[in-house]
Amino acid sequence: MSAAPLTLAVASKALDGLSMRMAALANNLANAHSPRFQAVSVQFEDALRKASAKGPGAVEALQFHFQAGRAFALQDDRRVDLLVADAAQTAARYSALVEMLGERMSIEHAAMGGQG
Amino acid sequence: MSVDPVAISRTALDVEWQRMQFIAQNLANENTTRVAGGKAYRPVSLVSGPDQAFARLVAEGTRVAEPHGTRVLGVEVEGAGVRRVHDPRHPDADKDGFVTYPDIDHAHEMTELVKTARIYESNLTVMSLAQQMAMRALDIGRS
Repeated sequence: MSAAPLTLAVASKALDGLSMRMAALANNLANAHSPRFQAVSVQFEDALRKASAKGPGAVEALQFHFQAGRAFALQDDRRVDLLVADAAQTAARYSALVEMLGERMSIEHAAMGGQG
Repeated sequence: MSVDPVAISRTALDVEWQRMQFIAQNLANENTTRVAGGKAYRPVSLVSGPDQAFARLVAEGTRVAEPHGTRVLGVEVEGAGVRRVHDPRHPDADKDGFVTYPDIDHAHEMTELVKTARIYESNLTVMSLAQQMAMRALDIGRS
């Protein structure tokens, strides 16, 4: 088994999960005018936390799925503002993870004798 | 994973744009007495829904189907009510001197207009956030 180090495995799975969540949020917002709509969501943090306790192999085997979210009735109002806020938060977390991965890679690069 | 948030937001921009055209058409025809064919104008509104084919839902079984955004389902007539105004000198007046105008709910059209513009804008925002995310992904490994 050629498992990547745990940090890299967890970070790349988290990037997967976050970009799936972004798709779910974009879909829920795209259907803001759809009467009787079933929202979708992506919950991956708990599964990722449990798998990371078992090691990198378990993390790499993880698969995330879209889940059924709130079901909207005909006259329910849609909180477009909250959806945009969630999307902004997701994008910020994605950015932070990319930043962290970059730091980690530059440390490895330095350890291998490269410059900067 | 083959779901692209930018493509999903794009479907919504398309649908909301078309909805806006119907609202503008209703407001523009508030004082239209007849359309081609001689009948009165009927206000119409656009019906949209999630873009999910039934076959795909069946194929994916109990799992929640992948999101594909939204699409136009059709057009429906908003109401068949009319507004009759006594104006015997109007060329479209009937034999009693009444002119028939469509009964367009101005407040309803205006709230739909604002709602549509808001939703359009927020879809644009999410689209640019998703675009930023994709651009950030290109920074992985660049030091």
